[in-house]
Amino acid sequence: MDDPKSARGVMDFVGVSRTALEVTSLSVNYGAIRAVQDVSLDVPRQGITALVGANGAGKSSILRALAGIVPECHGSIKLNGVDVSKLPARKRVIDHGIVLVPEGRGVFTTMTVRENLELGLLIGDRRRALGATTTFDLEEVYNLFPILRERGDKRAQYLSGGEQQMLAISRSLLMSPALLLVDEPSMGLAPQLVRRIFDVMSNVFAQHKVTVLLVEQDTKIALEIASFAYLLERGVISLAAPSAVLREDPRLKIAYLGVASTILSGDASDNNRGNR
Amino acid sequence: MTYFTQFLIDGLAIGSLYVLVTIGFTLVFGVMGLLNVAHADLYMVAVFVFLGVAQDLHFGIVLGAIAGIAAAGLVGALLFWQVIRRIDRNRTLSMFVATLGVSYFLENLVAKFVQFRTEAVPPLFQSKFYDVSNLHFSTGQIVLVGSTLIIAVGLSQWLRRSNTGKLMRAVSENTHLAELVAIDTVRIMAIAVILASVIAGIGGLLVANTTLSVNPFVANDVSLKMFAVAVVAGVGSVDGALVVGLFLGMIESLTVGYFGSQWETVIGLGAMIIVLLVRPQGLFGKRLRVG
Repeated sequence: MDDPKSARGVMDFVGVSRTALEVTSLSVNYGAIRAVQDVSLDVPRQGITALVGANGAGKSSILRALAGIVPECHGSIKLNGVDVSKLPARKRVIDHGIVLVPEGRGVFTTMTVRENLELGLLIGDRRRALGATTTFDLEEVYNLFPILRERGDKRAQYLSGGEQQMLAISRSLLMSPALLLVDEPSMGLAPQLVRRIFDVMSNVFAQHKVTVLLVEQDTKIALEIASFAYLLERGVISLAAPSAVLREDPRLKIAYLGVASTILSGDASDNNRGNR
Repeated sequence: MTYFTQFLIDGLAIGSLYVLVTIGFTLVFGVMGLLNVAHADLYMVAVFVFLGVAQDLHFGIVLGAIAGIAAAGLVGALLFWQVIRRIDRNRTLSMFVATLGVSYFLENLVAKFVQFRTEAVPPLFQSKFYDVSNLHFSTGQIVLVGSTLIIAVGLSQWLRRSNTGKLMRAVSENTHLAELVAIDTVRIMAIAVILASVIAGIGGLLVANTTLSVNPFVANDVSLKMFAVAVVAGVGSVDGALVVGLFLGMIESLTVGYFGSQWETVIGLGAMIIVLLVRPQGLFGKRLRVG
């Protein structure tokens, strides 16, 4: 069972859902600014779902709200049927396995590579004691990213941007995630490196059946590894479709060029929730 | 040359006081980004509780010392849960004012009990005095300096190696990220405050053991030096506080010896200003994160 406290067994028995995460009417405010407005989305179990959109569309805000680290948000967030929207960030990680790989340099720069990984293991051990099934050990992580083994005793600040991103992802895997939220893993990295990191991610997530919600500005690569995707525009979901379909949709390009998609698509709210 | 060496020896003892107070302060400031102005007062509280329990209540030196250190930890814990926790951590100025209030309250409360007098403190143990080729020093001083080295190096190693120490460093570097890896930041902060308070308490007893006196407002002077040492060393750096604290003690002692005591404070604060201008993160500090 991915989550010790969930009623998944029952749900599977009655055949209710392959849905891991169910977000309904999520809004996020920063003071008077509304970054995310009435967003509903589903993330299926054991697959990669992408959330794409232009800069400032509110993608990261959604992930941060799911992780429980935004000052103000409304709506319901259910993981495996359990509403976690009122829980503090720490409980979401330990009890429910909602793990965020934050945007940019998500590592402790003054600590060594190994210490960063140990922090992940510490939580992973507690999650396993609670019955989490997605498990990784140091050896597996080192096999994914051999450079981390070599750099074990180096402080994370001396790693390249790509190596830091590998470290952040590895630490998150060691935390035994039931739902992994990955925020802009390509940010500031050279294209070949992005390709490598995405290849590893896509392999390891599939192999270990990790449930992933991926936020990414680089639509092309995100839609390659995701099976389903949402397009977010100015805090509202304007499209939801399987990646292969979304890739061909002209509205995707328009969203990035900054033209109001409503001119082409009419009422976007029809597409607000993926219908699977 | 004998004078010079003698000043250095005396300076080491004064420096030890700075170190023991500053390492706790810098730990708390580093971990929580909190300016606990009342920190040095815990040093004073420990000595007065020791005095009361050991002498006035006749429980003896050992129980008195334990009570003094425990009192420092207890007051630190209360300070954390009743004052610090209630204030938004981003409001540094509110923190400053609140803990300053606590500092005044503690000092005047204790002063009231002892009728605003400087009190004589019984020694922890009978000190021997040595006179080696015209250099004077005592076992009290040796124990003070030795304990300071052990505590500072021990704390630094504990931060480096123990699990709790690692969590503390994680919270210290990036609280938001620490919450994302499910570290109980409040618990870690509480541990940091209590540990710091206990160290300040131990420092108080060891210093009072060499000066054999204490007054309720002794912390004012120590506070000023504590800020100077923490800033010059780099906030959050325990190793730095050890080096800079001992160094400042020796410099001050030499200054008093050769130029007169009116120059004593000038040195520490002057160094603080220069370091702030040239190297704002401190001599041993990590560069502050922006954002």
